[in-house]
Amino acid sequence: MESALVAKNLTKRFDKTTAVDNVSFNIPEGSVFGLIGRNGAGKTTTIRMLMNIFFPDEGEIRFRGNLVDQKFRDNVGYLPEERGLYKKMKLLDTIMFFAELKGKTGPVIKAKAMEYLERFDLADRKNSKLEDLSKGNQQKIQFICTIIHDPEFIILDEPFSGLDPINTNILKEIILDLKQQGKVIIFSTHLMDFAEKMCDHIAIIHQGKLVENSNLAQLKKKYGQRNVNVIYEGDISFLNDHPMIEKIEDYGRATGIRLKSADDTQTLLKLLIDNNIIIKKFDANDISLHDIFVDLTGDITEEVTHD
Amino acid sequence: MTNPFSKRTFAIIKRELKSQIMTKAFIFSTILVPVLLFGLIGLQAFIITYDEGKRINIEIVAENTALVSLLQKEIQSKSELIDENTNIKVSSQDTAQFKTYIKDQNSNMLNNDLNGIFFIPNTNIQEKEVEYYSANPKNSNLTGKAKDLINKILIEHYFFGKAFSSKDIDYAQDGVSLTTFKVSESNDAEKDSLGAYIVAGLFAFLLYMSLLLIGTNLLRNVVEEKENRVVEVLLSSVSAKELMTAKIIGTSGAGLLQIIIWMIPFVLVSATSLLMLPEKLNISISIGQVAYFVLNYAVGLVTFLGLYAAVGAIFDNMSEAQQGALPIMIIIMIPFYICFSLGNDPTNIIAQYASMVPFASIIVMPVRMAIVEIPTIELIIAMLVNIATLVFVFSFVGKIYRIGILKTGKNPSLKELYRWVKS
Repeated sequence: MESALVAKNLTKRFDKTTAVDNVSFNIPEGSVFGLIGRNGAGKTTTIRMLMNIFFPDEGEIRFRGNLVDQKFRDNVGYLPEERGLYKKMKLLDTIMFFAELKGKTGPVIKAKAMEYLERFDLADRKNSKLEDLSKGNQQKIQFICTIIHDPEFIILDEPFSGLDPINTNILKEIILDLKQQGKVIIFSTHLMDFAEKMCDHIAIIHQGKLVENSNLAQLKKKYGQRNVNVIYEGDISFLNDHPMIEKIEDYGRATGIRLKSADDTQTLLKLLIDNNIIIKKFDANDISLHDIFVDLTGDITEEVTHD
Repeated sequence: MTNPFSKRTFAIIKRELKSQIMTKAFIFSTILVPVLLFGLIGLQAFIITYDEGKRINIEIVAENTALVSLLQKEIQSKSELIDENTNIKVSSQDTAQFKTYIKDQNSNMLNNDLNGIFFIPNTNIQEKEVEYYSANPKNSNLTGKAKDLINKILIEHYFFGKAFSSKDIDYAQDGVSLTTFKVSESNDAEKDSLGAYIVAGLFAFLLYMSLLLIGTNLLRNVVEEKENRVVEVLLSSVSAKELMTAKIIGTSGAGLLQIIIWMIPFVLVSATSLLMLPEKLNISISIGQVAYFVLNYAVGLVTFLGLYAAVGAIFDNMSEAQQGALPIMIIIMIPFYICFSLGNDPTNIIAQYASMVPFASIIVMPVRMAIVEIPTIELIIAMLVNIATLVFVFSFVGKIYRIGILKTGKNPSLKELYRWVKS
C-alpha cells in the first residue's frame, strides 16, 4: 500500500533527555493509524513534530512526497488530548475562527459548521458561550473545529474521552466517514479496545523508541502464537502455577492465557474439559492489543493510570 | 520561512482585537476616562469663573461731595477698575446720616441684596482710611473690586489743583502688572499656564494606566491560552512567531485605539474654545506633540507587550504570571513617579535623563514635553533609544515565548530562561 506520510529517523532532544529516539514509520493512504504508548513515551512530541510545532533534531517527515511545511499544516486537523477552546467565545464564532486559521472563510464554511452542529445536536446553541456547555459538548465543538476545514490529515488524541455512548457512536461514524473519504487519520489513545476496533495500523512507542510498527493483523499473528482467550463458567484456579502456563490473567468469566509452548493448546482445552469447566468460547492464537501493549511496555497498573 | 502577516495571522489579530475591545472594562475606561478627566478640569474652571459671573451690588458713601462726583465720573467712563458684573451706587452723607443709613441697610446686607458699603469719612481722608460694612467683610473678592477704585479717586482728589498733569497722576497710580511667558526655542513665546501642568499630569496618568491595563490584558490572554491548551491547536495552524506577532499587533491596535480616543478631547479643547477655560487653565497642544505622543506610545506599547507576552508564556496560571510581571510593572511605575518631580522643577536633571533612558523615556518624555520645550536632538535621541529598546526586547522575547508556551509544570529558573534565549 502506498504511504501517505513517511517519518524517517525522527529524533528530538530536550536538554539532556531524548524524547523521541530515531523513530521511523509509514502511514498508508486511507488508513487509521494508531499511535499508542504510555504517558511520557514520546507520543505528543512525535505528533508535534508531525505538525511542525517542533522541528526534529534529526530526521524528516514527508507527506505525499513533500517535506511538511505550512501548506501541510493548513491540511492538518488536530484534536489535542488536553482540550482547549476560548471559554468566552460563542460556538459558531469559535468554529469559524479555527476555520479561518486554516485559511477557510465564507458562507460555505458557515453552512458546513451549522451542518456539524446539527449532527451533534448543538445547532440551537450556536450563540452560546463555550463555558456554558457541558464538558462533553465542548468536546464535540473541539472535534468540529478539528475537521471543519476538510483536512487531508487528521490527528485525534483520545477523541472519545468524556463522551457518552451515543456521542461516541456519532463520532465513530464521522471518523469512519472520513476514512472512507480517503483521509489519513492518526489515532492516539490509551484505550486499546478502541484502537483495536478502529485502527488498521499500529505503532507502539516506548521510552522514545518505536517498539512495534505494523498492520494490526500481522501484529496479532506475531504475538498471538501461544495465546489463548477463553470465555468460561467454573473455577479455573487450578491453572495457576500450572507448569504448562507462562502467564494467566483471569477476569472470572474470561481469561487470557499464555502457554509456554504453542503445542500445548489442545492439552489446555482437554484440561479445562476434564475439570468440568463449561467452555463458551475457546480462541487459540488470539491476543488482544491490550496484551501486546502491556507485554511491550510494562505492567498494567501503570498503564491504566492515565485518567 | 513563515510570513507573519498571512491570512491566518489576520484571523488571530481580529480575534485579539475583538476580545480586547469588546469588554466592559475597555469600553468604560475608553469613554469614561476622558469624560471624567475633562469633567474635573471643567469643574475647576467653573469654580474659578463662578464668582465672576455673579452680580454684585456695592455702595460707596463719601462725606466729601467732590469724591462723589469723581466716583461718578469714573463709573460713567467704564473704567477698567470696575468689573462689569458689579453695580456701584454712589452717594454723599455725613457721619451722622451714615450711622442711621447703615442701620436701615442692615437687613438688605444680611440677605445679600447689598453686598457691602464703603464709607469714606472726611476725618481720616489723608490717611486713606475707609470703613467697610458687609455681612461678609473678609471676602477679599468683594473689597478688591472697590479698593483700587477708591484709592484712585482719593489720589486724584489729593493731587487736584497741584502742579501735576492727569497723566502724571495716572502713572503714579498704575500698579505693576505681571504677564508671565514661557521661554521656548521658537520665537513666539507663549503664555505659560497651569494648563500645561494639567496636560502633563494627564499624559503621565493615561500612559501609565493604558500600559498597565493593556499589558495585563495581553498577559491574561496568553496565560489563558496556555492554561486551557488552546495554544496547542493554534500552533497546529500557525507558528509561535506568527501567533505572538499577531497577538501583539491585535492588542496594540486596541491600545492605540484607546489612546487616540483619549487624545481627541485634548485636541478639541486645545484647538477650539469648547470648554471656555479661563486663561490660566488654557490647554494648548501642538499637532507635533500629539503625533510624538501617539508614536511614542505605539513603540512603547509594543515593547511592553513583548515583555508581557514572554512572561505570560512562562507561567501556567494568572496569579503566578502576575507575580512574574512585577518587574515590568516596576519599570512602568518608576518613570510615572519621576514625572511627579516635574511638577516642582520642570527642568530637573533626573527627569531630563529619564526621558532618554530605555523604558522610562516612554512615559517621561511626553510628560516633559507638555511642560518645557524639548530640544529636537533630545526627541530624536529618545525615539532612537525607544526603537533600540524595542529591537532588543524582541531579540529574546520571541524565543522565550516559543519555548515557554508549550512547557507546563515547573516554572523555569532564570538559568533555564537564559538557555532558552541562547538556544
